[in-house]
Amino acid sequence: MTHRRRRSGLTACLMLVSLCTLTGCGSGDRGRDPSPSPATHRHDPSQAEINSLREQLATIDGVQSVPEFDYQKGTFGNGPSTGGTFNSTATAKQDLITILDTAYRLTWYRTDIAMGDLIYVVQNPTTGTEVGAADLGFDTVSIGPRQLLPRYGPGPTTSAKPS
Amino acid sequence: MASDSLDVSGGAGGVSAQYDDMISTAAGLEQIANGLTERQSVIEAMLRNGDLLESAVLAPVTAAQVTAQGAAATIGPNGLLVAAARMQASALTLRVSVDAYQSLDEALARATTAGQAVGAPLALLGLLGREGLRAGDDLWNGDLAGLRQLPGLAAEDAGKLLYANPWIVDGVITDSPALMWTLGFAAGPVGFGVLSAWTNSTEHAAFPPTSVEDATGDLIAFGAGFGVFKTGSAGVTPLGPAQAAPSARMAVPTSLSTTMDGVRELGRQKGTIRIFDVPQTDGTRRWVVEIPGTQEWSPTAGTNPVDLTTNLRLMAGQQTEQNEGIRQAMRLAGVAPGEPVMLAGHSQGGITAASLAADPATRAEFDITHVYTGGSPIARFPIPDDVNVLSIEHDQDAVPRLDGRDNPDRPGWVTIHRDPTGVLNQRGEPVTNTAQAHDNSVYSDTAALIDRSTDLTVMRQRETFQPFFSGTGDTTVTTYQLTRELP
Repeated sequence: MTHRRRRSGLTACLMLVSLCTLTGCGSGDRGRDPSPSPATHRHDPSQAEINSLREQLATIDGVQSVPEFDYQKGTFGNGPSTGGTFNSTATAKQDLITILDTAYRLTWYRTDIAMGDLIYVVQNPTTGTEVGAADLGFDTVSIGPRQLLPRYGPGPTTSAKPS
Repeated sequence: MASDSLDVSGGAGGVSAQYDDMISTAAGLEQIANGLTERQSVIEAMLRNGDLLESAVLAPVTAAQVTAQGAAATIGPNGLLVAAARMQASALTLRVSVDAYQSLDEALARATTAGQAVGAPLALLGLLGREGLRAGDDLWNGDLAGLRQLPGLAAEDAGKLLYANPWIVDGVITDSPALMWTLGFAAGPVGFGVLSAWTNSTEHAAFPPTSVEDATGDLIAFGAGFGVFKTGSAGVTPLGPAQAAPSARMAVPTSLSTTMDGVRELGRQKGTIRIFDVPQTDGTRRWVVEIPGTQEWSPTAGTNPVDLTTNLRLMAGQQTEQNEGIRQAMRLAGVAPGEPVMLAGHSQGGITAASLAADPATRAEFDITHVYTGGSPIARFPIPDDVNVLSIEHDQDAVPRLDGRDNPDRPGWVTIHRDPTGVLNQRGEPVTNTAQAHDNSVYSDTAALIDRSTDLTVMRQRETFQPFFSGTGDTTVTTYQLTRELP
């Protein structure tokens, strides 16, 4: 780590030089790539895709119903996020954790769509037992790509890899 | 490749703190020198003592030896007088050095600002020229498809330009008053007069502007003439558990990263803030207020005060419905005078935090001791020295540069910079553009690095925040819905 000093006028001049290099200083550098790079990003899901994911998660072994499942599109500075509650009749906390783990994994493996931060809760409405991300060992209740990638890997067909 | 390297400015290891240390050392040397001078007077008085002079008759050799030793101890080359003079000289050198360093710093800062102010328009003109050449080339070749691609490519180039040269934003902001003047002149003498009369008739605006705040105030005043950027009054409603959003669990602030996580989760319930009551083991209480970033970007002011109108008003140095709503929520939460409060926010949330901490009326009512921001342009807010500030700014994020200057370098204000290139954002994409660099999840990632940092300046600042994260473990939270009530 270093202690940074104020940017100097000299630095500003050097930045200008780098800028000229970037812009070609009107040299006529075309810079247009005729072959667009392949799609490398997850896209925002359509309502149909959200419904499809919800139905997929409802089939997880032990899940009785999915009473809540909402997706919020991101804005500038705020990424998308998804909240979901899963009801189960399982009584053992470990069984609820297994369901939660599966729900996170399946969502992350939908590598075509960007669900953003996931706030998933698995509960047994009868006993009142519920588990969330903290029960999987995370120190926060919402987990996103930064936590999902190291836990579950890149997914079966994802192209969104850290450089 | 994501970088885990952090650049730290300000704080205990900052330049300002080092200057303070030099001044303190100079003062210490002067104090010792004064003490030595006083001792010299005592020895001189002893040498002139009547008994000693009388004893010289009986023991002239001994008296001479005493007198010689006394003289050596006072006015000799290693005597008190010389030592005191050397210390005074050292103290003076230190003070002069501090003055020289500070003058040099100020000169460099002025040169940087001037360089950016000149460079930014040149850079933008360069970009325009490049796109113009492209358009001309396409026209010459009859490439209409290429011409249609031009707006997208121009936007892409602008993004690349800003990502590689984020200082351009500083320059544009510095130039904003001049831009307003130019617009005024372009409107002609009559137009200039009309603009001036119109703008100056509105509250918080002055035309022609003399500062960035004035220029922003003018923009609001112009907008008001077209029905945008309207103001209203603040409304606050505490939300019970039944009104919470689905899966509305929340990260309890236990660290800088979980606090930023909590700020991010506020995005799931538009227009809300959260106030955490953190009981301490000694029976006292501390409070954490989490404030979200901009949620609505329409210039037309709506009922959600977390919007563009609030952004502009904050940057113009005005108090907002969001500020008033937070004050009302703090009253409802029971925040008492003297109980330490930490305000934490991302983007607009951080600006709001700084605005509240700098507002004398707010400070008279609440004891805001800590401000924690991510991606917020807060350098222009006069936050008092006794408030501990921790600001995170990503190098390629244009938003924290919208104040057009660096954060103050002072012992209680630590700014941490990071190049976030390659960090995964919430969409699972590695950061490659300025919008991604502003993503609050990427700020959480940087906050996690700060939580683990062993940099002494960071550790000392982090320690001051720690009581808000520990407490007795019985932290409680209330969510408040803030609204703008339009007339």
